[in-house]
Amino acid sequence: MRPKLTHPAYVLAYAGLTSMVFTAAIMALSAATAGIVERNEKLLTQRALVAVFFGADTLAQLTDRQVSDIAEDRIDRREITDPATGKAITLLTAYSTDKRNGAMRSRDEMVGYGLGISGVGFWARIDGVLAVEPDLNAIKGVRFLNHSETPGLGGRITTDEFLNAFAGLNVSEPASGGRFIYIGGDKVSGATDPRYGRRVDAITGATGTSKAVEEFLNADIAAFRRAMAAAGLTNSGTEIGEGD
Amino acid sequence: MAMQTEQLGPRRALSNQLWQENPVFRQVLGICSALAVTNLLVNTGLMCLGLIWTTTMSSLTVSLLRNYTPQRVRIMFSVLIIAVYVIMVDIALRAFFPMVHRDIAAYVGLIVTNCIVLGRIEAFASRNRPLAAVCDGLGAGLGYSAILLAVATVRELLGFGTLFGLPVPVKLHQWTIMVTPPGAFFVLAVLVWIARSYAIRRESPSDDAGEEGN
Repeated sequence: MRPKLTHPAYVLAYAGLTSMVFTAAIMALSAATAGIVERNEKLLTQRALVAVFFGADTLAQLTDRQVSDIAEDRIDRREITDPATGKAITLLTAYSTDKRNGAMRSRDEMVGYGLGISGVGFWARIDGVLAVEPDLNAIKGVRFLNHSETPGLGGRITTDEFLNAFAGLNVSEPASGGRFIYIGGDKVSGATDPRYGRRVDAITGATGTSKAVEEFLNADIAAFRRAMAAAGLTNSGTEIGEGD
Repeated sequence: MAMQTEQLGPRRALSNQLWQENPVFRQVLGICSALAVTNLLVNTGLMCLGLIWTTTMSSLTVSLLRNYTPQRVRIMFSVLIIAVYVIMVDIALRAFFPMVHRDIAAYVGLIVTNCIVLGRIEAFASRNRPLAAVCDGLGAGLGYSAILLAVATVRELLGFGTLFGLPVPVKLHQWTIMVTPPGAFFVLAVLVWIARSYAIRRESPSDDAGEEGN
């Protein structure tokens, strides 16, 4: 028998039932793939960490399993706090050797320090990771994990061409009024230019994204250095407190 | 231009959407995404696959349930169906193509609001048999994809000097405007102009007297 499609009870029942059935289907699919999605997201972060600490060339030679092992066994995590803002920062410390039961690793085994970076891009929030040398004065690498920038324009912040330019950049304490890093603007005129060794080219056609990245990178590096000093790590990176 | 509403066979339903009733250049639907995603061929191709899946499956579902769906809630029901299939695409990308998902996630979500999907459901799937509805949805997706890929080819070539991310052997001056959405306005307008001019010449009054006015 054909149902009376205009009856209010039928309309309500139909709307409710179809909503439940289709929503349940999506929930089931989401639950079925939750493990894979979680692994993917974790692996994405682990790959970024391995890339910034150990280099893209090393990453290219590793299997997903090896990437995961390195990220777990060679990168330690601890909380430090920026005294100026009270913001907690997860300090990442990478070593060239695996964790050993209870034993501290020597400074010679240290590869570098790292931190999560984030800020508002041209469209929405951008997240990433930044690694610096053990003396805190030069960038080892930068990777962006999530962004909503325009594909082909601001979206090019994830390209090797843009990211590789950060490696080796000087991030020691700048002169008064200066910045840790500069993205875009005029070319550096010479060694006396305060931007010398601190500048990378902006992304063509994406000045907004470039400026946004410059803003939050400078803010995060400044906060990181304050937090490191407050945590008992000198600006030279020498640990004077308890080891990791 | 009126959308196709009469009963059609599967083959005609498919071919209509590819050319005579092409959603982009004849019905001028789906223009937002045509502007947003067409600066890179890879992103465009993936977006098109998502749309083809959504138009085909939502047309099938709506057609299967057309005799049971009350008129009062049909739009709500249609949007629900479309959202479900779009979320499926999103979940599949997130699970199996995480790098791709990172690049085009924002645009995949926009398929829900693509006028083509709801337009074909309302105009055709809700009043036709499932096989014809599937062909109509598939045709609409393919017709949309053909135009978008053509736009993307021009924009990526002129904007980046690449095709599918690979550099072309000829050195081209890169036009930033081609990378930004305004560039798509120009390319799309020119393509629509060419396609319509060709269509007018091809569909002379003598061979298609019964065609709807455009």
